[in-house]
Amino acid sequence: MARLLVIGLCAVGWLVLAGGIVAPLAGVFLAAGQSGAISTELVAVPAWQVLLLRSLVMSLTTTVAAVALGLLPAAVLGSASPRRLPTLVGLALLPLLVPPQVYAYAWQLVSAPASPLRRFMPDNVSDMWFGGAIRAGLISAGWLWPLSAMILAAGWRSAGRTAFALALLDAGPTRAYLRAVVPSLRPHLMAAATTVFAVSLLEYAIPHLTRCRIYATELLVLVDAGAPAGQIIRMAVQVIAILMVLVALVVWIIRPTAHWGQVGMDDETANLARPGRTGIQANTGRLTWAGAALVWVTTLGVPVGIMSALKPGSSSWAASFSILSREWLSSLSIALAAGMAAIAMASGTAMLDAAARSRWARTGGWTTFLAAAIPPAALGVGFILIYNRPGFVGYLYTDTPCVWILSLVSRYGALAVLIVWLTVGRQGNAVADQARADGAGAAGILAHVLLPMVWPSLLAAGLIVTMLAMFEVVVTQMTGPVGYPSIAVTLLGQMHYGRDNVVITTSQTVVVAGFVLTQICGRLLMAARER
Amino acid sequence: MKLLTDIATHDGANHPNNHLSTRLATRTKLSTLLLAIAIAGGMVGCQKRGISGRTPERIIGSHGFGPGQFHRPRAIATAPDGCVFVVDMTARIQRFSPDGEFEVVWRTPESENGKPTGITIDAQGRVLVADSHYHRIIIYDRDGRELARFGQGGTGPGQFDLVAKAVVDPQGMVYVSEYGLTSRISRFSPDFKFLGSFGGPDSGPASLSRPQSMAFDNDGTLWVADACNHRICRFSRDGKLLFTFGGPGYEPGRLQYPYGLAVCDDGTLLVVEFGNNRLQRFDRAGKSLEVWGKPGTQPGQMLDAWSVAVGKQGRVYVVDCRNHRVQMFRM
Repeated sequence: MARLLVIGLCAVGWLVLAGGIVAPLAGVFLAAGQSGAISTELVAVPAWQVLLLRSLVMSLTTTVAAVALGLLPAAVLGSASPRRLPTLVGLALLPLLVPPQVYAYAWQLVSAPASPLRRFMPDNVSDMWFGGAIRAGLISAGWLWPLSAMILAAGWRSAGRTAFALALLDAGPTRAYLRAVVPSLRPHLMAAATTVFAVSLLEYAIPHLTRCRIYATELLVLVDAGAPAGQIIRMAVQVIAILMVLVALVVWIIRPTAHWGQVGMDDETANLARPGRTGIQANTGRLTWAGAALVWVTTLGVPVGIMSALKPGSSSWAASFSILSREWLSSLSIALAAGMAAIAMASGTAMLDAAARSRWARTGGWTTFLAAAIPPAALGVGFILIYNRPGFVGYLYTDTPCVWILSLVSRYGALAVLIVWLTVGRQGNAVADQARADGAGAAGILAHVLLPMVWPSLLAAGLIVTMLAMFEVVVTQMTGPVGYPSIAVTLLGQMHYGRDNVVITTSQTVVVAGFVLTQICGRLLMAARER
Repeated sequence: MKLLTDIATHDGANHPNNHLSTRLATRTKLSTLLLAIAIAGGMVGCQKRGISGRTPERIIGSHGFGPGQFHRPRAIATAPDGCVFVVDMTARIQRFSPDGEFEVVWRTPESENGKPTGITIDAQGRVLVADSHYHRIIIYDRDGRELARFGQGGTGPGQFDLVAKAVVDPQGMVYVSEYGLTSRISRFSPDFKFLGSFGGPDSGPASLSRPQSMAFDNDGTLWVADACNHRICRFSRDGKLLFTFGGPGYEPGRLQYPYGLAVCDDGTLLVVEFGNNRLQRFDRAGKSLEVWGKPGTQPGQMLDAWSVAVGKQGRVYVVDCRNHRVQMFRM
C-alpha cells in the first residue's frame, strides 16, 4: 500500500512538473521569439536605465541590510540547543512567511496621521532617493533577513562557532568576530547575499506598494497593458542577465575556503564551541541573543505593533472575515492544493533522485529552480502562451483553477524540492544506496526508507508552499480564473489606499496564523533532521 | 539513523516498522481524502456567487490604447449635455456622446507617479480631474484645454495627499476628498481658497476612511462613498454628518468597498461596489431597491466596478475596470 502511495505521489509529481514547470518554461522560450511592442510611454514605464539603477539600488540595499540583520540571529540559530531549535526555527521562519505586502503596508501606516510614530517619519514618503528604492530595500530587508540568517546559521554551525571560540583565546569578541568568524563564513555570506538579492529583485509586492518602480513592478504593468509576450520576455531577460552575472561573480569570488570548513571538524576544537565555556563567551552569548531578539522585534514586532496601535476595533475583525470570506475560502483551497502539488513534485524529483539515482529526477528537481529564478510575470506569460488556447487546455485555464495552482507551484515548488534534498542529504543517500545494494527496488526504498525519513520535511515543505502561495500576487493575477477571488490580490488592492481596518485586522490574522504554522514547521523540520 | 539502516538492510515485508509505514499510509490517505474534499468544497463554494443580472443597452469601449478604447477605466462623469467623460489607467480622458460614440481624447500632463482616480463635470461644463498622485485638481474645458489647477502635496490644511474626487456645489464651492495619509474632505471657495475640512481621523462617527466618491443631492446635501468603512454618508454642506447606511456584507443593503455613487433624477442613489462587483439602487432612507450585476466578463457582469454616472433619459454608465469597458444601462 505504501508503495502504491509513493508511486502515485511520484506520478502526480511528474504531471505537476510537466504542466507547471516544463510547459511554462517552453512558453517563455516561445514567447521570447515573438516580435512587436507597445509604446511604454502609454503606460508610463520608465526607461530601462532608470529601471536598472532603481532595481540595483533596491536589491543592494536589501542585501546589505538583510545580511547585516541576519548575522546575530544566525549565531543564535547556529548555536542553539536541540531543545530550543524547533521554536527558534519557527520564529525565524515567521518573518519570512508573513506576506511582504504586510510589511510595506505597516510601514506605510507609520506616517498616517493617527499613527503614534508619525512625528518620526516624513509625511510624503514617495519622493525619497532613487524613487523610493532605498525605502523599499529597507522594508524588504525586514522581510528577508531570516533567509540570510538561516544560510549563515549553517555556516556558523559548521565553522563560525568554532572559529569564534578559538579566536576568543587570543582576542576580544569584536576582533574575534571580525577577524575569524566573518572570513570563516565567507561562502555562506556570499550564498546568503546572492539569495536575498535574487529574491528582492524578483519580488513585486513591496516595491509596488512603496511606489518604487523597478523591473518587477513594470513587468506586470506591461502584462496588464496587454503588451506582446516578446516585449515582456525581453524585459525579463534583463533581470535574468543581472542574476546570471551575479551568480558568476559570486562563484568567482568564492574561492575554496576548505580550511575554515575543517575548523569545526575535530573533536578538540569542536568542544571549544560548546556554550558556557568562559565568561566572555557567556556574555557574548547573552548579547547575541539580545541582538537577535531586537532584530526580530524591530522587523516584525514593530510593524505588527504599528497596526495594533491604530486600534482597528472588534467590529473590524468580524468584518475582515465576513466580507472577505469568499477570498479566504478560495485562496486557502488553492494554496492547499498548491502545497500538495509541491509535495508530489518534491517526491517525484528529490526523493526519487535519492531512491533511484535517476538522472531524470535530478534534472527535474533542478528545473524547478530555473522556474523559480524567472521573473514571475514572465513565468505567467509562459503559462498563458501554453494554456490559453481553444479546447480542453483552454477550459482548464479559463474555467478551472488548475493552471493557477500549477503557476503557484512553479513559483514555490523549488523550495519543497530544496527542503527534501537537504533532508535526505548524504545520510539519506547512503541509506538508500545500502538498501539498493541489498536488492530493494526504487519503490521499496521510497516507501520504506525515504518516506518514513522525510515525511515531516515533506509536510513542512507543503505547509511553507501553502503559506507562500496564499499570498502570491503576480501569477495569481495572471492565471487566476474569474470566480475564484484571491485574498492576496484583494488585500494588495486595498493596501494602496491608506488606513483600512479590514486590511489591518486581516494582516494581523495572517501574522497570528503564521506564528502557529511556522512553529509547526519548525518542529517538523527538526523532527526530520533527527530521524 | 540506526533505525533507517535497519530498515534498509532488511526485507521490508516482515519488519515491525512496516506497520508504522502502513499506519502512516492509512493516516496520509485519510488526511489526503479530507483535504481533497475541503479543497473541492472550497473551489465549488467560490463559484456559487452573484445575485442577479441586468442586460446593458450598450458596451462602450474595449481593451486598448486607441481612441474609444480603455485600459482599466476608473472614473466616469456625465456633462449637463449628456456627454460622458472617462478616465483610464493611461491617464487619458476621453469624451463620448451620450450613446457612447468617441469624440475627444487628451492626457494629464504627468502620470509616472500614478493615474487620476476621479472626474467630475460641474454645472458650467468644466471637467475637474482628480490627479491623485500629483496632489492636485486639474480643471479642463470640455475639449481638454487646461483652465486651472490647484493643490499641493501634504497633510496640512488645504494640502492634499492622494486626491480621490472633486465636486462643485450649486454655489461654486469645490469639495475635494482625499485618501492615503489623510481621509477627509476639504472645502474651497470658487477661486480655490481653502475654507475648511471635515471627516478627518479625529471626527468621531463622522471619520471617513477613503472617501472615494461624492455627489450632491438635489437638496444640496453631500453624499459620500466612505469606501473602507463600507458605508454611504450624507453630510450637510458645512460638514455635519446627517445620516449613514450600509455596513460591510454581501446581502442587499450591505456594501463592500463602495467606490462610486450617483444621484438619479428621482432622488434615489446608485452605488457601485468594487468588492461585490455590483450596483445597488437605494432610496433616500438607505433601503436597497435593486441589485444589478455579479462578477464576470459577460455583459451585465463586472470585474472591479469602480464608478457610476447617471446621464440623460435614464442612462446609467458603469465603469467595469478590469473588463476595460463602460456598460450603459437604462433605468
